[in-house]
Amino acid sequence: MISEIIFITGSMAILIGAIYDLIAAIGLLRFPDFYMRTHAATVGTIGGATLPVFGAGLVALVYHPLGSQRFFMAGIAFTVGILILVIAPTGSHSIISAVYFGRIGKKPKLIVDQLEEDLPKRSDVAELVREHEELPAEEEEPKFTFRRV
Amino acid sequence: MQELHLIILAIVVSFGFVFSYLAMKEHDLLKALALSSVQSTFFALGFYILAAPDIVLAYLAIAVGAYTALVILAISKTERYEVGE
Amino acid sequence: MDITGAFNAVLYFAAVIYTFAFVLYGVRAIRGPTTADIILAVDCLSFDMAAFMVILGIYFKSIMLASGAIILALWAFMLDIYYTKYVLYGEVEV
Repeated sequence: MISEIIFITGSMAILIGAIYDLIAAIGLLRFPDFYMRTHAATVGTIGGATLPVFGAGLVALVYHPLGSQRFFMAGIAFTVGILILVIAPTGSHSIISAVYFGRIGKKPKLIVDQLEEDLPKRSDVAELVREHEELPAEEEEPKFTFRRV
Repeated sequence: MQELHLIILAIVVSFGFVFSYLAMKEHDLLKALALSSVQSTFFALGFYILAAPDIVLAYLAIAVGAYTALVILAISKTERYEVGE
Repeated sequence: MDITGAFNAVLYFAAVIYTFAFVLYGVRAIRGPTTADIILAVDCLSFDMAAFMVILGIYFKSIMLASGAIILALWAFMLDIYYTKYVLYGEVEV
């Protein structure tokens, strides 16, 4: 009885995860600029990869044709799920920060961009560098370095 | 179920072929590296469906990991754009 | 309850949708105007492929096949980090 409930829960997780993945793929193909594509990509990694992996782990716990290997399979599935849960937001965040601070591509028209106001201007950074070149006693690096690629 | 696996294998290997051609014709070396990593990811699924787990383990570590790291290191020490002949 | 037949039906539905999603990710990687779009497509593609490898490993009844998913997820993460370090700082230390 309890094994059937676990099996149905895992199967539902796999099916819902597959549908999430299709929605994320359509969004990644159709959205106009990079930041909206990132929104679709995070749906695809968390909803489309983490959820079916945990569902597969639940299915593997009660899947009798695997024999005694099914606990190893469930362990692999839960390990992959926790790894993707930690890794995928970190990777997406690092790519977005690279695109924003590296000025890659075309930035969409924003109404309010509060990160832009907090950043130091290019002339301020140059002035900071010049001040520190005049005073060699203080060894303090400028916080932000811009480099056009 | 057997036919579905063969269809997946055909799709994956065709995409790998297309991406290797695009990586060969590209003049921006960083973009060519990204296209090459797409190709190696598709080929990893191809080896997986052909039921060769040892090749999957070795091919992923070399083609997705060490190859991209070494080529990005080489690009950062030298030029990014390939100059015309 | 026929557990094998039910799982085969679930796997058939999931495999068709996953393959269609892989094709759409590949089309975005072909069309992508900048390099960051391609890297984002590789990111999504490898994580979803790791999930698909675990689900297929239950069908093939082999734990050696499923253990490739851990390595795929970890190495695809390194590509993001190296791209970010190259774009922001201009040099990469291995």
